Amino acid sequence: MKASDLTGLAELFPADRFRTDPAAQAAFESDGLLAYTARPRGVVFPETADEVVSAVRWCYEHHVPVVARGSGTGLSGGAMPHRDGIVIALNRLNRILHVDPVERTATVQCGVVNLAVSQAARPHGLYFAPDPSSQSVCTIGGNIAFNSGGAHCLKYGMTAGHTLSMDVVLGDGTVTSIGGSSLEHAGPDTTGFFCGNEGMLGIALQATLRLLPLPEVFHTVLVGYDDIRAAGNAVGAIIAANLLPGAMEIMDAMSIRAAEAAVACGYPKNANSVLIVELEGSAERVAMEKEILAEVIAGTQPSAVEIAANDAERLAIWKGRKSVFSAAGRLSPDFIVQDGVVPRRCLGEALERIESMSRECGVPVANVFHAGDGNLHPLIMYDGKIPGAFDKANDFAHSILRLCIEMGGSITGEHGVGIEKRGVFAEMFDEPTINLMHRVRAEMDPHEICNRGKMFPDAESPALSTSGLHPLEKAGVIFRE
Amino acid sequence: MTPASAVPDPEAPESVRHWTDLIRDWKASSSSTHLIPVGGCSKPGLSRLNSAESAASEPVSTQRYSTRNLSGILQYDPSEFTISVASGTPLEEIMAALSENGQTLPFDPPRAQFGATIGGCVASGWSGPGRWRYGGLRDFILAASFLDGLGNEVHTGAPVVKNAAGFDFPKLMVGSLGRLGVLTRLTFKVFPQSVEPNTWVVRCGDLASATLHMQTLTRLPVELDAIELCQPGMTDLHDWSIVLRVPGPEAVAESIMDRVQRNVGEAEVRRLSEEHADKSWSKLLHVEGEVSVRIPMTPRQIETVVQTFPSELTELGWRMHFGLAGNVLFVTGAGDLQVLNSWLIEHGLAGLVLNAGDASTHGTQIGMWRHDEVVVRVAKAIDPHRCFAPLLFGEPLHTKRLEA
Repeated sequence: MKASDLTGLAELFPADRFRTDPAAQAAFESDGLLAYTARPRGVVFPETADEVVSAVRWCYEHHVPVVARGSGTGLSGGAMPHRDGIVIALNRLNRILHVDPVERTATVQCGVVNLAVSQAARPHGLYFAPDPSSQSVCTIGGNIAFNSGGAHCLKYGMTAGHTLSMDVVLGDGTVTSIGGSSLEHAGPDTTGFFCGNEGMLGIALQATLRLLPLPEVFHTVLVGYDDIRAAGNAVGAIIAANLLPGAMEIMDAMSIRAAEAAVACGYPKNANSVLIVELEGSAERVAMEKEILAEVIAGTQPSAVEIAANDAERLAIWKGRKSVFSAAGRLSPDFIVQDGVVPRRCLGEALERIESMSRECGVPVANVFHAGDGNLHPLIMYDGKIPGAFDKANDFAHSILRLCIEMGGSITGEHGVGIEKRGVFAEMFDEPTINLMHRVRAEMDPHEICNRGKMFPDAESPALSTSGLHPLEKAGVIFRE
Repeated sequence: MTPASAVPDPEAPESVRHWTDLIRDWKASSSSTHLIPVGGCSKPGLSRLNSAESAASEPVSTQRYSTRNLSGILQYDPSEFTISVASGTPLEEIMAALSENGQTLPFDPPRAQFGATIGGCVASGWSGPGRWRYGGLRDFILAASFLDGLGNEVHTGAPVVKNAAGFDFPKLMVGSLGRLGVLTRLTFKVFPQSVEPNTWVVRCGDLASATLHMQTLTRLPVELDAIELCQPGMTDLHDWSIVLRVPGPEAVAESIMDRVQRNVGEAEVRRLSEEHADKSWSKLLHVEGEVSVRIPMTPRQIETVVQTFPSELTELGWRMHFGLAGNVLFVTGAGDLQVLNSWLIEHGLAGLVLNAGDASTHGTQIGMWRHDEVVVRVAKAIDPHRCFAPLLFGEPLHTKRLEA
């Protein structure tokens, strides 16, 4: 199909909201995973759900691939365009339709920014719990498509756990509502099923989200250790003490150096690794739990313990953690962020084997991870200007994912499979399971227009590039988990 | 009451392989009889033929088979806080193993002592009072293996506490009522047991005060394990009452309850004795009755529900309570479901029949079931030959493709 064949689609939108010029194509050529790019034939900017539906129906009729995109902060290439298709940019569907403090819900359009939901709920003493690091720019639609988590999903779970209902348009243009306003549901949990579909079954147009009471107090502790295994053991000790912190994060020496260089976060000098633990809840419970936490940490041979005395110090601790990947740009011109999960008991062994693989292949790696979840985020560094460097780094990244599978874990904890991990997808799921996923997709999206080429291993291969950080990341606007 | 004794034990294939053969033979026979997998039959109303089906022009019937022989704890490492079990494993066995290590499934799976299995629990979609603080089945299920309508065993999700790979079939199985496949193996996240929980009752007087106080309490930044609203005669003889479960230790719970007291004004707040608390929770958790029905709703609907509930049922002694701070209504009574069914339809509510009693001709799904296009399509993909009994929904409202 030639570009002129989009004429019918163009007629559905004003000229300034249907773009086929090179500038628009370039602006949407990738998401947060810059190693893979493809320029779409066009980009539409709907302002209403009806316009989204019209665009999907036109594309269905004409077999034109569609990629729905929020702010493009995803890290698995899930919002990378298809070169024969269009991008539906959803940022203009950004209205918060209703906040109901009695039912503790917010109904929002898909292009609403994650943090805006919490800001709207705050006057009622409520907030939206999922907090991806990119929450100041990422959208609810993207959170739903990839079932986003965040540092605090250890305690509160992922986006699916906080999404009660949705209006969605399926791949053949059918519009339907799923779920309800209640916490409870009669019948299969289709809302939970739709979350994390990576845009391959359809597009969420609006959603009703569950809100939680704002935590009354936080108690944030930064602990330094001489070796990373001790930090990993501390996580086990904290959980064994029946504590359920809001977050538990570990950074290794290289990550600490990068964060220190970028934002002068003041982490303990000479620490080989740091553990961040954050308790949150009611004043009386946190007061009790922090005594237990102090006792547990004292028994883990820390080299340093720092407790945030106020909000500013708490934010400073988190700033170091949240800036670490963009800070890594100071250590390496290019990098791949991996996102595997291992059983918690395997964390220490996994880190040692990653270090060993790194030495063997000569590709440096830094490690940050959501320790409470066993969710690893190895940062694999390379220079894209050197021929073959990307392939070598990518092979290393896939070796880490295979290690996660071997240990009984998962190839992704929160970034999704997207374009990046589809090569190992079939190593995690067997043939009957993948066949069933294909059959489900065929029912929802018979022409496979939605996010064609993603997740499944037999998908088409995209063009590659090896450019550096996302422009927003360079500007310090978005951060990686 | 022992619901399991109300129906004869169905046949139980010995292994996954036998289940596979059963499904493949079923498919080949093109029978008008649908298969419904069941667990321990502790909620016998959930495996009934739906009324619309039984009235269909081509007679259909259902045959139930039990997963009780797919039993056993397959993998449990307490330090990992996950457990993998065969789907027919009795909940009591799982809870006992977890309890030995100070752990639990914190959503309080109902009817464990009636022989409920973990697979039946998932298929019912019914989480108990602890769902309020900790989340429900959908939040704790990590992986599910099941047999599809072609007899293929598929393995979905992953046995780790965080996973975003592939379509989330484990969540889809929550509330699937055995209509989307036969569960074979399940993995859950587990939590530490709540420390020294104790139970308090807020006596609110009338319903208006009770709903107002409940709204206040649900927005307090304090940890309440469970919050249920009971009509007079359930926990308190005369008053509408809010029943709270508050985790310890004692000093923390007392401090939290001081705050609760400050927020409910003149309402009396009292702690229940352990014995009284156990009785109350047993009643609220298991929802016993010749007839019992679970009805998802929202807190804003409470007053309408109470004001419009059919007087003929009230006069017959039917009871109600609101679970999860008004997110679910449970009604119990005796006799036919026709009046309740009509009332649910009038108010746009969907009901799941946990126990149908002897007199009812109604099926599992009563009231107004809104069309769910996603389920309809997923069911076609999972079970193209309609081996399993179908779920029934109302007519699509705005799901049809409109002319662009």
